[in-house]
Amino acid sequence: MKIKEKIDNLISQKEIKMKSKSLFVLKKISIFSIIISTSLLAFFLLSFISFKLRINGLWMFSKLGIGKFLYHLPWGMILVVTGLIIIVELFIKRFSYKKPLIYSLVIVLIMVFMGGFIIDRAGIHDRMQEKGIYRHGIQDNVYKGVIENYKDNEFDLTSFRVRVTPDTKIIRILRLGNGMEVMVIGEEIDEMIEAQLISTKPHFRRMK
Amino acid sequence: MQTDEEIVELIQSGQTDLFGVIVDRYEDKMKRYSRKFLLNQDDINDIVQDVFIKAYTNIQSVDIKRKFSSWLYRIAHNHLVNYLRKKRVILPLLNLDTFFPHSIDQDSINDEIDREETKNLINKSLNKLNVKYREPLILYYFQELSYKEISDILKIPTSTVGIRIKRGKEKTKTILQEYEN
Repeated sequence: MKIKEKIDNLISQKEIKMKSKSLFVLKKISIFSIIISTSLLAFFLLSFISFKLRINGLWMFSKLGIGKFLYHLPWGMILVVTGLIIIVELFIKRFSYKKPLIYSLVIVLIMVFMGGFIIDRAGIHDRMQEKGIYRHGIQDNVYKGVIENYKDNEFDLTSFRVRVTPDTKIIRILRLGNGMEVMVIGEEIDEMIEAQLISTKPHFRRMK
Repeated sequence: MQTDEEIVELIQSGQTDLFGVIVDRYEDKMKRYSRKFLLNQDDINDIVQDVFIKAYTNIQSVDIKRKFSSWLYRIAHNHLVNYLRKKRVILPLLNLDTFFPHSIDQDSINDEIDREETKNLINKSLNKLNVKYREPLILYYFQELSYKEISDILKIPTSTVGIRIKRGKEKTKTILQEYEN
């Protein structure tokens, strides 16, 4: 039997049926929703990475060497954002295949970085931090507080004692003294922190 | 004579018996296209039948403002890719030539004398040619589709279609030279 006859028979005997148009409309809506929700999640996570770097003064790790900076980057979250960008790109590629991939990838990257930047500038994470929503996981060998009892290159910072050594890098501070709000990077051993870096305390970004 | 798109619009509105017209118009084309990848006649018939069944079930998704033939060839392409994967033919998941823009000299490809000669060359070296180059060459030289249509079928940039055709021709010549030597 010829293919045409077989197909005609299958159609007339209703052995094959057309899928309804609404199913395809629903599919398109689903794809669009996935692109939007994945993008929003990428914006949010990227802005959180930026917030985490800023609030923990992690940019300051770069002063201690690129190795330390890279070590302290939130790689888990960076990987998740990269995965989300790939998902968005894969879906967008369905519609933009006529142009080289590099164009749509650049557009997606710009879109995600802009979205992340806007959310960060809007101070959403700062307000969540102030409301105590981010209770854990922000600190990472970083200590913040006001210098008290400064004497002989040592001072109290909250419940720790900080030791300043000749190797300690001091940034944006001319001279250490009591009452200064600072951020210290260093490893804590028995409530004593040997400071690797001391800098001014990073401030929250607030909405005006 | 009604265009494919006009017929598809009627099928979408309920005149399902008109699907036979589509099968009539494309059965031979689909078989010719499949024959460039498959040798077994039964496999070719099965693939072509599956392509039409899939086309019928999904016909409501056709945008009649766009070329129906590209949509149908896309289904055939997907079926052939799946078939080749089952036969353990290695197909690349990521093609770097779709990443960056390319400029191609279309005039050097459109020459009619060159066209006939290239068809002969491709036919002789078809089995040795990578699927990545084989498919655009077949669609361009044997199915006589445009770059834009091939771009819609393979879902790759138009400039990549051009570069694959150009490289495919070069590879064809290399294969035949090696064979003659």
